[in-house]
Amino acid sequence: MSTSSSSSKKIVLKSADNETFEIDEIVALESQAIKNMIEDECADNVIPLGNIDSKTLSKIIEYCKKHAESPKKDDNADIDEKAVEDLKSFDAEFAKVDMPLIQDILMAANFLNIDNLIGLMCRTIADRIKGKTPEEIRKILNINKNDLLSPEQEAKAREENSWAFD
Amino acid sequence: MAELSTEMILFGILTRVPPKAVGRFKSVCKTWNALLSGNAFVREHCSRSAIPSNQKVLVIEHQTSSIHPINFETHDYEPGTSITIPFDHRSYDNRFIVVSILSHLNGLLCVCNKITSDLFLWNPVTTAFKRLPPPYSNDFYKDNLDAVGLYTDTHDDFKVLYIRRRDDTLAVNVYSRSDESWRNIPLALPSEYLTTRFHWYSGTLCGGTLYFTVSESVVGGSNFMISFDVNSEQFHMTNFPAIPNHGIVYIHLVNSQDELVMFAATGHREMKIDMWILREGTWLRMYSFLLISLDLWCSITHYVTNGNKWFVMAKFQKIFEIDTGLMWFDRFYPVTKFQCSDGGRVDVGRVTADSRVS
Repeated sequence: MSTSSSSSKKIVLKSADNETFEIDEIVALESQAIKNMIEDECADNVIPLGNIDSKTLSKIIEYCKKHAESPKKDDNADIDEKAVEDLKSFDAEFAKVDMPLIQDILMAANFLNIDNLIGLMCRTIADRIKGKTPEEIRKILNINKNDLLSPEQEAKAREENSWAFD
Repeated sequence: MAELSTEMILFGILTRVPPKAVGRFKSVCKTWNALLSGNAFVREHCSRSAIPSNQKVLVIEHQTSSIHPINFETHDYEPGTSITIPFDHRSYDNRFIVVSILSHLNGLLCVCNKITSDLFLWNPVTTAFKRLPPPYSNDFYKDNLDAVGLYTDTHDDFKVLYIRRRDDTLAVNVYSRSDESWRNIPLALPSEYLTTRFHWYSGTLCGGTLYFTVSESVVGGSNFMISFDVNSEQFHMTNFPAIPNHGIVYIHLVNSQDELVMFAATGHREMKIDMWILREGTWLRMYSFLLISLDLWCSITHYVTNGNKWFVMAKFQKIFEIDTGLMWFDRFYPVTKFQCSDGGRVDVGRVTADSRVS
């Protein structure tokens, strides 16, 4: 039987480098994966996240806090536009980090199953790479050298898609 | 640092870049080259509304053709950029565009030249096109007699179903893009629907089935629905909702995330729009929008949705919104073709990322 109200209940997350973060349960529930763990009652007081470092985890908690305290769209059809704008500008600021961290956040968000954050990170990466050349893409996303096209294949791919290189 | 999975890169990130970037990224590596051309990617990429640049419509009028982005704030179309149609598309005196958009799927348009009666597959973004080889020695596609439906089969082969009616006989052929050839498909249906008294609209693909509306006349007369199962290649009669068979009846079919939606505008002078959904073989009326004055229905061109509202569009502008109170999906589905009340013709086709026509 639960005695404490859900708003005051705390959850502790532990990063790969053994840093612990105590957060409100409501914030943790932004993660579908943690939500499932809590609902299935298989979450201990401390949830170890062995594949997420503290730098990434603190960013993710920052995101979840903001989104947990913002009014949800489906709660109320006419929530004030200011809140929506506020969340939008938070998201825009949040995404202003370097590419390696964005990729780390994306992987962690995917693991924790935080839908909005996955979308935000994917959109951010898409925006940053859309104007790049294939050479730049290989560097940014660390494409395996063994997977490169042969010079003939690459010439053919460029020829077929010449409309995209103007 | 661990690596992002190929799936995340492909479906999470690359489905969100514009078509041009997709074309360029096919040179990045072997994996991307193969996956970016695959149907699974193309489908997902086409349906992402998060990329406004991926949601454009092609509008062909009497003398101009242009591509217009959709403004997601107002749901109107922005001013367009004119494009050149890369194949024979002018009347003999060179004054008019005689190309008509019949259908669209995954960024490819199927269009016909009404004078030469040729059929083309065309991607306006990449400018690639293919003139389909005529399956018969004489006239190929007659706009007022014939119909097409586009689909992809289980092997991701792009197919064009061509329904041809001449002298009360009806022949069905299917074109395979990978084989580049036609194949005849037998058809057994009550012969009354095969006569030229009935008009077949272009097929709408929904969950592995192409649906064709077959109407006796726009003013009065009966309507039928004939479906084509793309896997078994069988035709069936499908139920038709209870729509009056008098007055004017205008029907638009829209595929909404694999649910078939029908908008039926019916009446005379004052039109009423009913929205129907086909569920497990039964049509359910979801919404009725009453009494729209005559000149409004005359200019209805197509229906689109932004997520939870439908917009009744007239060429470039939203005429009104239908708020169903239901959660829809984050997709736009412009219907392809319409007549204008002033007798002018406007064709609209959705333009997306596929670049596979050769």
